[in-house]
Amino acid sequence: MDKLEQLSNIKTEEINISQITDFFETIKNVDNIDTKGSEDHIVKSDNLREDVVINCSSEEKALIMENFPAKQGTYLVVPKVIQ
Amino acid sequence: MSESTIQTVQDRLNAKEISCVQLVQEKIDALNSSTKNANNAILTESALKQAAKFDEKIANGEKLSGLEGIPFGVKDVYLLKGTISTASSKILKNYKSPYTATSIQKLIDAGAIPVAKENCDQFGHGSTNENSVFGATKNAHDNNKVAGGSSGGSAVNVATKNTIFSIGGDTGGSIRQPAGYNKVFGFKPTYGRVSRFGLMAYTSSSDCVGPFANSVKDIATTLNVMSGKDGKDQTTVVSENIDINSFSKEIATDITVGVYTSFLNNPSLDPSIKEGFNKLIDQLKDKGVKVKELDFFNGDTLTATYYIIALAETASNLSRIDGIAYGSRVMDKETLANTYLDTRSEGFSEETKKRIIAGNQVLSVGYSEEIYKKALIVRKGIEAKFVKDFNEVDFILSPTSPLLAPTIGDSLKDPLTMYLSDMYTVGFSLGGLPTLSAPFNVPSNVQITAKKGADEEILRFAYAIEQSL
Repeated sequence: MDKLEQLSNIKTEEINISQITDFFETIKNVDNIDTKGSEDHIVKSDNLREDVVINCSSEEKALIMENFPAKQGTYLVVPKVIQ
Repeated sequence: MSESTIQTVQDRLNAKEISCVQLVQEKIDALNSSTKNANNAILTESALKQAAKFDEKIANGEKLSGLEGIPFGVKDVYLLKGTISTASSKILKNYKSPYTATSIQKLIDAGAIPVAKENCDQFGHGSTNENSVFGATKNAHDNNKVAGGSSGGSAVNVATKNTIFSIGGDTGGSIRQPAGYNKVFGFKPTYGRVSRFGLMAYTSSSDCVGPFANSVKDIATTLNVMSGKDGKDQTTVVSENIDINSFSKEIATDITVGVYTSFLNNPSLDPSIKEGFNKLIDQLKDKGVKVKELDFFNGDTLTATYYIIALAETASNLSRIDGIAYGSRVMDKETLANTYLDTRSEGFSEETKKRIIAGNQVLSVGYSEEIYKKALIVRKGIEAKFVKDFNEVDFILSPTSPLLAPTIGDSLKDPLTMYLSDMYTVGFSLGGLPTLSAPFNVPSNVQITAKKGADEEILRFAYAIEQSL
C-alpha cells in the first residue's frame, strides 16, 4: 500500500490526480504577496459554549442505531480490530 | 417579475384562493413529473401533513405569516430529521438524518414546508452537478445542458417554479454558478452569518448556507429567518435583521462599483457574457453609479489557492466517513484496514476520491509547507486586497462564470476546464464575502459583492437594479 493510499484509505490505482496537482506548481510560483491589512479569519476562543453533556432524544438515539451498518440482535457489529 | 413570490403565494393562501394542501400537492406533482432529475427524494407525506395544519389555521380565521405554508427545497447535503440524506453519494445512499440542520429547522419553525431533498454534486465536489450517484441534473432551460453545481437541483427547482425557494450550499460558487446557469437569484452570505450545523462539511473555512429564489425580496426574507448566532457552530456571527420594507426602487446616486480588469480581460470569458456585463455597467453609469477599474489576482492563482485549501479540508472532513458507525460498509474483510479501504473505494465517486487523495498529498510531509501553507498565505493576500478595495468602492461587480452552461458530459472529459470555470467565484469565498448572483440580463448572471457583513447593502442595491432596469 503506498503512502497516499494509506492516508486516504482509498485505492489509488486508476485514480489520476495530475490535473489537480498542476495547481501545486501555480501556487509555488505566486510571489510578492502583500498580506498587510488582512482580517483575522480565525475563530475566537473567548466565546466558547459551556462544556457540558447534552443528551440527545430517544428518537435521535434510535435513528443513530438504525444507521449502524451491521447488527446482530441487540449488538452492534464492528470489524475485528485485534488480529 | 413579482416583487416577492413568497408574499404572493401567502396572500393567495390567506384569501382562500388555494388551500395549502392543494399548493403542496401541486408542487409535489410537478416535482414527480419533472424531467430534470433535480430531486433525490420527494417528501410527500410529511409535507402534506404540515400543509393540513396551515389549512386548519386558516379555517379557524387566522392569517398565515412569516414563511407559513411556503413549500421549499433542501440540497441533499443538509440533515433533515428522519429523511434520507445522501450527499448524492453511494456511501450514504441509505443514511437517515438523526437531527435537523439549524438553518433548515429555523425555516421550518417559521412555517416553511420542506418538499424535496435536491440533487447535487457528491459532497459538493463539482461545478456541473454531474458528480452524483443519481445522475446529472438537467438545466432548467435546456435538457442537454448541465444545471451547474454543486447545488444544481436547488437552482433548477426554483427556476422551474417547482419550489418557491430552495436552500443550497456555497463553498467556492456552488450557489452562485448554478443560479447563473438557470437564471435565478442565488446568495452566498457573509461567512458565519448562517449556521453550518447539520450541513455535511466540504471546506469548513468557506462553506456557506444560502438561498435560491426568484426575487431579491425572497432572498432577503429567507436569509433573515436563517441568520444568527448558533451555539452549535462556533464560527457564526451576530447579524442585524435586513430591513426589507425600507428597500428603495431607485438606485442611490452616491454608489461606486469596482470591476476587476483581470476578470474581464481573461481570454476564457465568453463574448456574450462580456457584452452583457459591459451593457449592465453602462446602464448603471446612466443611472449615476460611478465605476472604477481595479487590479486583482488572476484566475489561475485564485483557482489554485481555493482548490489547494478545499482539497486539504475535504480530505480531513471526509475521513470520518468509513462505514463503521454509519454508511454502506463492505463486509467480511479480513482486516480493519481492508474494511476501510474497500468501503471508501467503493462508496465514493472518482471525483471525490481524486479530491481526497490530492488533499492528503497537500497535507503530507514535503508538500504541506511548500503548497498548503503557501496557499494560506496567498489567501491572506486576497483578503488584504479586498480590505483595500472596499475602502475605494461600495460593491464589486463581476460575471459569475466565464462560461455558458456546458453540454452534459463535456466537463467529465475535461475536468480542468470545470475547475477553472470557478475562477470568478472562488476569490469571494476565500475572503468570506457576501455575494449575490443575479439574473440582470447577463448570460450566466452577474455577481454583486460587498465587504464582510454588508449583506443588506448588496440586497438593497440589487433590489433597486431589479426594479429600475
